Amino acid sequence: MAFVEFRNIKKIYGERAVCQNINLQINKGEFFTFLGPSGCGKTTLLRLLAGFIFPEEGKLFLNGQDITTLQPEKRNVGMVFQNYALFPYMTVYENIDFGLKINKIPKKEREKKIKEYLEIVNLEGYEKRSISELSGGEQQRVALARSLVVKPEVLLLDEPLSNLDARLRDKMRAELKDIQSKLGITTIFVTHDQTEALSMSDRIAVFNKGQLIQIGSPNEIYLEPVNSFVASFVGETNLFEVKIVGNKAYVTDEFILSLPKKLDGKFVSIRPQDVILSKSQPLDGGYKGIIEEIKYNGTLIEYTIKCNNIILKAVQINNYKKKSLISIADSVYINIDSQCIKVLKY
Amino acid sequence: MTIKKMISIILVFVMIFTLGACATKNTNSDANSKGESTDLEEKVVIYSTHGESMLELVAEEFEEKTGVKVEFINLKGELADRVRAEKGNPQSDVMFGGASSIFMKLTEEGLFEAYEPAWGKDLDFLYKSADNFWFGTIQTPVMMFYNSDMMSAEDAPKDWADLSKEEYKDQLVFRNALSSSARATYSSLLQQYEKEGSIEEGWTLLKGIDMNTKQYYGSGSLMFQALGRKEASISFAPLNSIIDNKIKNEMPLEVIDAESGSPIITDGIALIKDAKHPNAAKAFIDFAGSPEMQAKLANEFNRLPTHPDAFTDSPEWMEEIKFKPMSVDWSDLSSKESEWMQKWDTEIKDTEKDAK
Amino acid sequence: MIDRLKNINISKILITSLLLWILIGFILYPTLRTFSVSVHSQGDISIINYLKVLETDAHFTAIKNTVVLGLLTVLICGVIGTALAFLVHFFELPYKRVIDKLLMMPLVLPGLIIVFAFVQLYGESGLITKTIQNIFNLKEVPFKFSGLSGILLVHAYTQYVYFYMNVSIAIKHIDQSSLEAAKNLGASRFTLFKSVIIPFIKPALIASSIITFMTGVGSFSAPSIIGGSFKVMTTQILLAKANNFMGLAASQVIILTVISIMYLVVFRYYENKVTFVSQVKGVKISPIAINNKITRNVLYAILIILVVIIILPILTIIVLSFVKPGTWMVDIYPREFSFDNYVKIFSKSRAFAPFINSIAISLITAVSCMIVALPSSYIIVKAKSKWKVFIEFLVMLPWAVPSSAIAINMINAFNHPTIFTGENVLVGSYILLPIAYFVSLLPLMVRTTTISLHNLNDDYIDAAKSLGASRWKTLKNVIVPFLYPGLLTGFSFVIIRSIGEYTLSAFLYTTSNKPISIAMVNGIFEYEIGLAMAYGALVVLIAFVGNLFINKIRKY
Repeated sequence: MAFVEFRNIKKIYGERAVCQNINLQINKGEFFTFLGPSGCGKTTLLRLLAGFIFPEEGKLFLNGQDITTLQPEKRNVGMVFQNYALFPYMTVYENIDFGLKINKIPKKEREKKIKEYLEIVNLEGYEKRSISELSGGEQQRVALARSLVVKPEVLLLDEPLSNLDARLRDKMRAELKDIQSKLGITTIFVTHDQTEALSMSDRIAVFNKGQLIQIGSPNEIYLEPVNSFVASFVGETNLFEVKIVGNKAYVTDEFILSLPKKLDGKFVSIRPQDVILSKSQPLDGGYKGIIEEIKYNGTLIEYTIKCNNIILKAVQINNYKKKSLISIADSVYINIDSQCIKVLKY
Repeated sequence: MTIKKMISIILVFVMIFTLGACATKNTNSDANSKGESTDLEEKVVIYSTHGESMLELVAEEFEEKTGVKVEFINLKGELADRVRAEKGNPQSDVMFGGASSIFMKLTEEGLFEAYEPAWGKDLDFLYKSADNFWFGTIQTPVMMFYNSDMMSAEDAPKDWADLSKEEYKDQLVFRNALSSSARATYSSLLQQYEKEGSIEEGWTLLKGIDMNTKQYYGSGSLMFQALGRKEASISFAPLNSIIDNKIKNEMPLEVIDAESGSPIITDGIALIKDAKHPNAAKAFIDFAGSPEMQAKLANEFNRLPTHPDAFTDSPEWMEEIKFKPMSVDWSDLSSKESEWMQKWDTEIKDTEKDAK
Repeated sequence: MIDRLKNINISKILITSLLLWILIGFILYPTLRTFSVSVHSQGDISIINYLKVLETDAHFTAIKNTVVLGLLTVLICGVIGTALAFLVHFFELPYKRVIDKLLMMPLVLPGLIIVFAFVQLYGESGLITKTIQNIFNLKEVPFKFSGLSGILLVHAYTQYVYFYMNVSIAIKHIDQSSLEAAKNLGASRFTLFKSVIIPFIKPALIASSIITFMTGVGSFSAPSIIGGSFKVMTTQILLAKANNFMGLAASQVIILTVISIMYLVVFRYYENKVTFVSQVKGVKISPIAINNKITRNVLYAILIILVVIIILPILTIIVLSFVKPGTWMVDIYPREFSFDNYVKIFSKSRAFAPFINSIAISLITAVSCMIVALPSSYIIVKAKSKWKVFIEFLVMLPWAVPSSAIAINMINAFNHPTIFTGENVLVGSYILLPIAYFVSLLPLMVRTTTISLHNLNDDYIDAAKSLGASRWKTLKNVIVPFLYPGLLTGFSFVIIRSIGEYTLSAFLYTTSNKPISIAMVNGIFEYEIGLAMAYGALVVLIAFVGNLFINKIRKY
């Protein structure tokens, strides 16, 4: 049975429906991500689950219990806010103590727990610090400890890493995942960053304009996007609108792709890493193009190629062995394996 | 806000302050340079206890007659205080109004300059100072009175001592110690007992009266309003106020002729020492206390004159006054009034009462 | 280059010296003079004046009463102001902006006018009192408007605004996500209030209590007019002065000042402890809808009653100003109305003069305050002058000193020639009253400019300099526009305060500058209640117009 369930959820603000027809099931212990652009409704769903807002239609279930009309303070749902929402007039200790005090836990036990969770988030000894002294990363960890210490049934994280700098973000991703799996707590993670979603999640739900588009594992979402939106949102891709005749996809009359078999569809998606470049003409023929831009990305090199008036993106690993001899304005040959072409209906 | 604006504001500010300083300096030198001439200055400044309407009348008539502009403020009970405070640099020229006891005190403090107006000679010695420092222009009897709609003549008190009787509990309203007529009255009552060597009884009486007093008022009009609306029934006030309210405001008031007498306060006038406009001041004193003016005030404001000639043109009832005056030694009283009033206010007047 | 350096230093030194001259001469010196008078008796130094105060029952009671009055005022205004702030800004309310403006109204009404209006409404034969008595057929008056309860009523009306204003601002800044986080952790409504909302509004509560206490202990109009036998220090001081016991008056002035300062110091310390800086962008709260219909209607009803109570005195003043002179001595409800009072004011020069005087004095005061406040704030906030602490102390000192005390200080200082006044005696002159107003209101102006200056980030000044702006240009184009709103607010407050001022005027006015408040009181004395109310109505009008005008200018 699903641990968390959204059933036929609909939420309206004014004239607009910000969430429509949402049906979602999350399993116990899962690290589940809501992914989508700004305004797609993912944070709204989170707040619906937390109880700060109520749906116009539909029901919410947590561990078998119908919590749709329950007040937020009665739900056992823990939330870490985007701005952490730490109480600025309390110390670290007092912040974490807040929820424990409400649950009427005796003092000695509270002290123990607070110490324990500070260790879990790697902030030993921080009890007496005041909030204004903490860095962004430290604040986030205190917020995490504060939510976890009261042992909620599900943990909601609202874009918790968006306020951190790049290095810290990477580190925190690892730490978060680590803590989550150690404690085994069901977690819903909201983000607009697809790299984050792909690297951390057990499963991902992709949203757009209030609708749930696709649910699946990171691999599924990446390799088998259900439509052009998912294809272009999750990971870089070359997306073309095409006319399919037989097993040929016509991007334009001068740029034709061979499909593995006869397929139906309006769009094709080709990942940049599947666009192979070579200086010499390949055996089965290929289009010739000119390098317009080269971006060095450390691990990768990104190329923008103009080929028969079509712009293509290609990516190569910056491997020592494969020292690239390609420079700007060079002519290159493009080869795309037909198996790599994903055909999408819409 | 441009720099230019800021600078101009600073300049204005500097100008104002300089002008203010200069003005005071100028008037100082004015008085000095004009020391010996007998021309009237362009204005005269009057500090007074009299009401606005009366002062306006006197001022307007004086202005018409002499062309000298009259500036006045009525300070009521705080008059003596203000004159005192300005000793180093008097801003006023004439003190017009206030009980003779106060005038005596201020004479002692050297605040006046002796000047005998033309009408001063004919005044009874009771109404002026021996050495021409002040002269009385108005007689103000302070009498008890009651609201005849609430009480009959038989039930009304007959004498001051009756006011402490139990039957009058919460029926009395009075002025507080900032009113000069109230001060004079309380002090007169005390003096009656002091004369007999039993001032303690006087304090006891005042305490008893206080117990019956419903409220003290700082404002005469609020006090009369209270009586009119039947919040209380008995009080005391200068006779002219009683008559005013009885006639103009049609209040049902009756005056009580106290058995041991009612104090008659003499309202005085005096020339301030080192006044900035001494000639105009003298002219004003000549004018304000003249028999003609006294008669006018008698007719318009029911103020009893001090000059014998004024009675012929005054309302008839003034000549036929049949109330008993209380015998008061004002000069002795003047030296004790401050102390008595301070004691009265701090030790006697203490239950729920004061209002302004 | 050396010339330029010299120039900068000279103007700085000049301005600082001028500032110190003014502050020492008109603030420090008078206070010291009063202290000196208080410790002299018959020419020798002695503490007999203080002993007298402490040993005399009446005076000691006055001290107790003053403190009690101050504390009770804080309590009552705190409850009313805070409750209103929540009602209007925390919950959803129709016509919120209109009600908000209405609730701020008492701020522009001078205390004296309110007292008179209240007497006409709630006095023993007041309009409301008698109406209630008639409706319910009571034998006795339903309530007594005098003594401590009467004073507290007036204070509640005039002072709740500080709490209302400050707590409203604090409420608007409560971080919505803090509230949600707390709810998320299981907080009940009570815990939410106690552990999240209260800490957010604590600094506002403390700051408001400071202002309210100091205004409460320095209150003069209400105690002197309807205080009855409830003696407080301000009225005792006047009495001592009237009886020419200057030593007694002076010692009470010093004691009152000390009480005021003590409260200020203690609570400032406390305020600093609970003030926190919320880092990380908070989310402003959105008003909460009240869902329970009954609760909602009850609250709306209470609000409407409150609004009526607030508007009533103003309406009373306006209506009564049309009462025909002399016609309202006996009846409960006035019967005859006319324009006579206004005609008198505008046609007779003696009646019109107080009107002009008040306006003139207010302007002089406001301009002087602005001119002195600017350099003072700058030195306090930005400059590195060694006089900084001294100047700040002097500039804020009058804030803790009640008006009657300031008046006595002025008298003691300037009834003889001094170097500060060019060897002139100021008592009885025109300029003494504006100077007293200036001293009394300077702290207010400095506060507003200082707050504006605090918000002026040094970065702006640095940016201007890096773009090549000279000192003057920076002053003109960066600093002044930044201060403009604060200056304007301070300016308008000073004007509004000055127009209806009574206490200082009562002690210090003279023939040349008789202000409106004195004319009002005289009117009351002369049985001309209608005339007094007409003056009052004009003051209210000026205050309103001034307020509107300033608000319009602010938009630019």
